Amino acid sequence: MEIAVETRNITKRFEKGRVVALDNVSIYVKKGEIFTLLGPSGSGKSTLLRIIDGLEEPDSGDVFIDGKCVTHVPAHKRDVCMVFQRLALFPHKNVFENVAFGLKMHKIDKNEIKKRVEETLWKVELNPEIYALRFPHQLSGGEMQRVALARALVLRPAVILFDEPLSSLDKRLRDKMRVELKQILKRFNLTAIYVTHDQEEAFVLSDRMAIINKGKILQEGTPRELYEKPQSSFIANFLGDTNIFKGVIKQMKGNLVIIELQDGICITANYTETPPISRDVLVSLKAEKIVLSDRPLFENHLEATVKEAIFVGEKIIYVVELNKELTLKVIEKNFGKTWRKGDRVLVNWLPDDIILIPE
Amino acid sequence: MKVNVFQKHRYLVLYLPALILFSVFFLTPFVLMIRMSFFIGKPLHCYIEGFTIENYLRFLRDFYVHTRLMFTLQLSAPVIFLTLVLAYIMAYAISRSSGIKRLILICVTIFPIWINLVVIAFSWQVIFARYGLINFFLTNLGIIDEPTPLGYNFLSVVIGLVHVCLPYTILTLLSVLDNIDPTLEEAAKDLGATKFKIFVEVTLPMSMPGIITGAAFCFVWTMSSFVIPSFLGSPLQKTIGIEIANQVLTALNWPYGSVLSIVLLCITSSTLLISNILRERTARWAKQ
Amino acid sequence: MGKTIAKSSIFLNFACVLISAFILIPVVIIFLTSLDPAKYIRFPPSGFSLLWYEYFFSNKVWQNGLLNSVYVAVLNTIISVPCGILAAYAYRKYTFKLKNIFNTIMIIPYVTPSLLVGIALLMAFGRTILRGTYFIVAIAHALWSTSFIYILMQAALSNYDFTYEEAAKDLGANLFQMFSEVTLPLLKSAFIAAILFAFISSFGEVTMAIFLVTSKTVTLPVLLWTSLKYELHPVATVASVICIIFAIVIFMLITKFFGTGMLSKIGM
Ligand SMILES: Nc1ncnc2c1ncn2[C@@H]1O[C@H](COP(=O)(O)OP(=O)(O)O)[C@@H](O)[C@H]1O
Ligand SMILES: [Mg+2]
Repeated sequence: MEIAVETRNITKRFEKGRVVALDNVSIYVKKGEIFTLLGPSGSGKSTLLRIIDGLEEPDSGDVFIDGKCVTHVPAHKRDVCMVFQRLALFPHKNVFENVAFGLKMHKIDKNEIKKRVEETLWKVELNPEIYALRFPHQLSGGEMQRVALARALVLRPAVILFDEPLSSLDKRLRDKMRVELKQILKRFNLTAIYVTHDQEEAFVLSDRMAIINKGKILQEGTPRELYEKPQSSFIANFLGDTNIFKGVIKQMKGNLVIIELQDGICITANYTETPPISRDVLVSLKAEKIVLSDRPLFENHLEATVKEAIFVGEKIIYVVELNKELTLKVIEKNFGKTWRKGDRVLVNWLPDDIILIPE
Repeated sequence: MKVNVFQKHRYLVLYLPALILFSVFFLTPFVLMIRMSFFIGKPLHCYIEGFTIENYLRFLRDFYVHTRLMFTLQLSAPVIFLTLVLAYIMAYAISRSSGIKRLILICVTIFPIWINLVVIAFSWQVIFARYGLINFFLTNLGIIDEPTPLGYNFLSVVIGLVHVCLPYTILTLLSVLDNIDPTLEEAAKDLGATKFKIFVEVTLPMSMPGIITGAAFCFVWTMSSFVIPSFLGSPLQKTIGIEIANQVLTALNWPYGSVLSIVLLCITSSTLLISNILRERTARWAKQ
Repeated sequence: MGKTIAKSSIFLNFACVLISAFILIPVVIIFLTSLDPAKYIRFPPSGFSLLWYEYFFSNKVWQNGLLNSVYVAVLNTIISVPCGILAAYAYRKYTFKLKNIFNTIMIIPYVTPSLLVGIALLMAFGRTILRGTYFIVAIAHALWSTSFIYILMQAALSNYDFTYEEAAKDLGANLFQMFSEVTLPLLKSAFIAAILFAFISSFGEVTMAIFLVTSKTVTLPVLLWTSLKYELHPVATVASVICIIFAIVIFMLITKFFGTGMLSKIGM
């Protein structure tokens, strides 16, 4: 396994130290991998990318690209390229000139530039004959996106950095572009770091991902690992609709733990790895893993009342009340039996779907 | 009927005071000036009513006026060049600074706008005079032995005009530079451009609209300058503006003065028109 | 690389200081020489006294010039501020077919050389009853001022939300109430700035005034012009300083009320 990019203990402050944008951040990205950095707005994602790109210098820590320390190498000498949040296509240059810009800066021969630009435009599925002479303001959102990608691709950098490049597109186009983007990146076996605040985007794109909040990396791993085994309530909350409860461990037998949520209400959970350390735990249960029924389906089931039933097209969101203080959010497909406000139901889930969060 | 029009087009009511002001005191005088240009000109008599195209013919023959026009054109070149260079540096510095530094620089820039031209010309006279600032330094530093008057030449006129043109040009360039998205420069850097290349490839071309407007402004200002060159220049530095004022105030030949005014008006308006078209061209990308 | 950044910004700062000096030195020089009691203007000043200030304020002609300038400036403000503000307001509030044409018409006086405007007005009104009146001088200035205020107010109004006015109307305010309760308070500082701009731009105007004043209505800058045409008399430095002080005071008021943000809209 070869490492393409690595950051070691990066710390960065702004406003004379009053704002800590990055706090001891260490990540690594393998060759040929799409690594996403997922975090809410203001969490320091852009700052980390800018430090990797060389637009910003870290206060401490080091950046390695292809094994070489580049912490003090200026941006224009680093083998990385960025696709910016607002794309930053040069408005006074046409598509060809935009894509050729980096090659021109590297003093590459004119014919070679032409060949490579055209080749790259084909790669991003833009026909050079049609698009080469257009200016950015004559392109649609999706086309601008492709040009921005081509402008970075053409330099064949060790890694391409993406700073929420799809955030300005409407939802439909965004969904389409992210799949296309992944295909292009994979087809040419490119290494990428992709920054986003959209968990769906992160799941679609990533081979591996990291969650960042308030300048700290909270957890990294494959999307599945993060989704199924969040190590903090923040992550559990951030990834999908999650019900989180405080509970106390009552009993442990084999792989099963019995947790009391409140007096009387007990649930059973599985743990596979290390057993919980303290008796007080946080329990998380994804909204879509719960099944409502009138007869018990699984071992874990509790009685509840439907408080809200919100129709959102392909799914229905229920809020059900176990007792005065305990409510659950449930997401079901808009299929089969549906429930109405006031209905008495049973909530069911599998022990495997209960996640204990060490906190 | 009239009430109806105003109710339907409320904006007309609001524009009306300005439009009345402009049509009575701006448009009418210029229309009258065109008529004046066909009256019979007789020095010291202002004008005699009638109709003649002699004034226009005289303009075509008037070698002296041609030299003054040529001179003013020549004068505009260094004024435009120097103003643009100085203004660009200043505007660039302002756009790259923030907080108190930016505030101070903007204040310094704007402040001379409201100091009247006579005061500015006069202060440069004091600086260039035989017993003025520059001579004081030159003699005290031993560079020259005897103070000599430095003013009343081409250079002093250029300096005075640059001084007057600077504030407006700086502000014009600043508004363009402030609107350049800084991520464009970062993108260029990211793609391997050095500082110099970023400037040449991104910043400079993107400030072209401001440069064009600024240049047009300096040109118009120089072509119609009258107070500054009449204070800071010798008779050799008479601009077309001075000659026009001379025809109107001293020679009292209003019809001929009108012809010269109309010529100057054509030059300045077409410059502004062309610069506007050019700016729209270069900035066609600025429109979404 | 770090080094080259530092170097170029030192160069930039240095250039900035030089250019600022170029802009400011004439003003400083005039101020220094105005305190010189000597009969001839020279640098460095031979001493320090307020001799020429006393001379200025005891001299009827100069006093008159100063007063005339104030009259004209006030009159200009009264004419141009409403014209400019109303038009800018209409531009921002309404959309109509001829908008671009109206806009161009409003800006033309701003870009027409003052020299030509002055001459045109002289020829049109020089033989009428308006000849040499304060009114015609103020009108000449008002052409430029109106345009200028129009441009400035357009910028100020671009941040103004007209739905407040609609809300007021919706709540039952009549036109006057709407103006006094909503529009005026929200745009107060912009209006004050417009008044100050109008005043000072007229106060210092000389090119048009030269063609339009008579000895009775001569303004301070024109007086300065005529006196300097014939001799470099030291009292001229005092008159200049007075002009500068007016500019500084108004300038400070504008920055206080308006901030420098709007000031940078003066460019074309
Ligand atoms: N140039 C800067 N000056 C001051 N503060 C900054 C600067 N850049 C970023 N920050 C601060 O650092 C934090 C992280 O910002 P950023 O990396 O842009 O977040 P994200 O991209 O995740 O939204 C924010 O609190 C932001 O205000
Ligand atoms: Mg960001």
